[in-house]
Amino acid sequence: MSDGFSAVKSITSDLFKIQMKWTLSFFSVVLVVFLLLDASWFFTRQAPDVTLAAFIFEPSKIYMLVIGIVPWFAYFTYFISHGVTRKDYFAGTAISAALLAVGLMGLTFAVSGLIHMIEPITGYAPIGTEQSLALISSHPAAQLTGTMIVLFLYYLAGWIVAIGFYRFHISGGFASIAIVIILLSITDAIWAQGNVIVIDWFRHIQPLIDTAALPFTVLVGLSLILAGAALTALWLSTRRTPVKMG
Amino acid sequence: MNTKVDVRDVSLNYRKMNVIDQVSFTMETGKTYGLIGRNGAGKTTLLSLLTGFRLPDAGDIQVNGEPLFENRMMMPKVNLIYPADYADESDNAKSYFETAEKYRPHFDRAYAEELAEKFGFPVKKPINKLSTGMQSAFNATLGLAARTEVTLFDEVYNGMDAPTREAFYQEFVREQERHPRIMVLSTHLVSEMDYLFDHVFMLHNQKLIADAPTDELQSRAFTVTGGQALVDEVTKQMAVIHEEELGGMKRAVIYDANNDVKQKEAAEAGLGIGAVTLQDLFIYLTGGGNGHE
Repeated sequence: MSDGFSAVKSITSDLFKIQMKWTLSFFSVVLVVFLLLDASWFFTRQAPDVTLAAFIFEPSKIYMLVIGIVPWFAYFTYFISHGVTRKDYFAGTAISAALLAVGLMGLTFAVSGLIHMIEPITGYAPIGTEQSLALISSHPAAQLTGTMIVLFLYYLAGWIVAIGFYRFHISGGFASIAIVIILLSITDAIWAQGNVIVIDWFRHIQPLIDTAALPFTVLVGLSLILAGAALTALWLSTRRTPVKMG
Repeated sequence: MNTKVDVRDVSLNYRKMNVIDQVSFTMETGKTYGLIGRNGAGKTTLLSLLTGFRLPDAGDIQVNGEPLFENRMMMPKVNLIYPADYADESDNAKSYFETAEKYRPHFDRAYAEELAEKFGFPVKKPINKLSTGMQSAFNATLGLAARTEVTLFDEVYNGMDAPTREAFYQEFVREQERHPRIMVLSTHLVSEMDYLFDHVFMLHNQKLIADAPTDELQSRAFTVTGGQALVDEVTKQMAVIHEEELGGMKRAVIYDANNDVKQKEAAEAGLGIGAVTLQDLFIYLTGGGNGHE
């Protein structure tokens, strides 16, 4: 440990490396499934109707939700036992989650790019290569930004569930699941997504706000407000939480 | 640099139960403190407060005059070693050493590896594959090699065999000489570890009932032995914490800060005077005896 040591940087780096390893495994599995599903192309010569980026988006949401849960139980006590403050652990987790969303999408786009590059050689041309994700904006940068924000929010949702059970026991855990359903419903409504987790009730409210008509910056702003609210709730639950000595 | 820990009127409630009740004490560099108490007395809870694992409901804990809880400068100086559950821990000791090296300012990696060899646990084997005794030796290694200003060992000997425990005690003493710090040993194996303590904190029913240098604490207690009637007569005005009778003879244990005078009285009355071990004193003061006070 040097004089210029920053616990936040160190936690961020450690958690990012650990979770990126998991992410590589997840990505590899999804890629194999994607390739297997598209293998029919070699026989039928009919272009598949989905790109890798679009294919991976829904599983990625679930994946981010799940790995949002795991680190709290695996690493909170571990790092606090090494003399790290809750504040630094919290900041490190939040930053590493954001970087993970960037990393997962970066990986997706890099492999999509490779697939795109081999297209002239193989003749492989999935429909919608240019519209990689089913988001409302057609601009690639906007799609990428929106996707990363959605994934980040899904991670925060997992984190809320983890802290709900850790800090507030079973009843708090179930309450946190209810909060997460609302959080993810709003997230998916903002980005006009089909909702994979949430039951249909929110679709009755969604038409009241036509998010598709809103400018991209407003959607980003709304999402950031949502992320801010989630992070505030997480911090309020974390700042004095007793460490369980398991 | 000398470190001072101040604990002032600390209380903690858990599910409406008082688990630490207005505890106050101070600790200074270079001393080894024995924290003794029966199961459920609040030892682990007190240590968790001293590490910043919990925030007390009342009172405060300061290290070098600064509040400990969530203090980025102070928390790395405090290290609590406890019998953690490693059932799901597939990392090995080497990886723990790497993390400790990163987060603990004075962690000595070479010393940790030397201790691993001395205590006989492999550093490349997953921790959940180590025996309980080896896991305890690994914990002890993390505590000794981290060289934090405040090192707290909670029942660190769990599962260690006698030779490993002895090796740990020897290393503990050596380490305290080489790198003096505040060391706390929480235990109920008092007889085996009492020679390590400079100072004793005794917890009972969530309260601190003794806070004194070990010698001084032991010197407060003595035994008187003699005929039953004479013992009863002489000890009538004394604080008797334990009594035993055999035939017409009686042995009483007296615990009194003013024991010089009391001993002299008992000796002049013709009673035999004896010393009390720390373990016996612990048993008698925490309800294991049958004293009438």
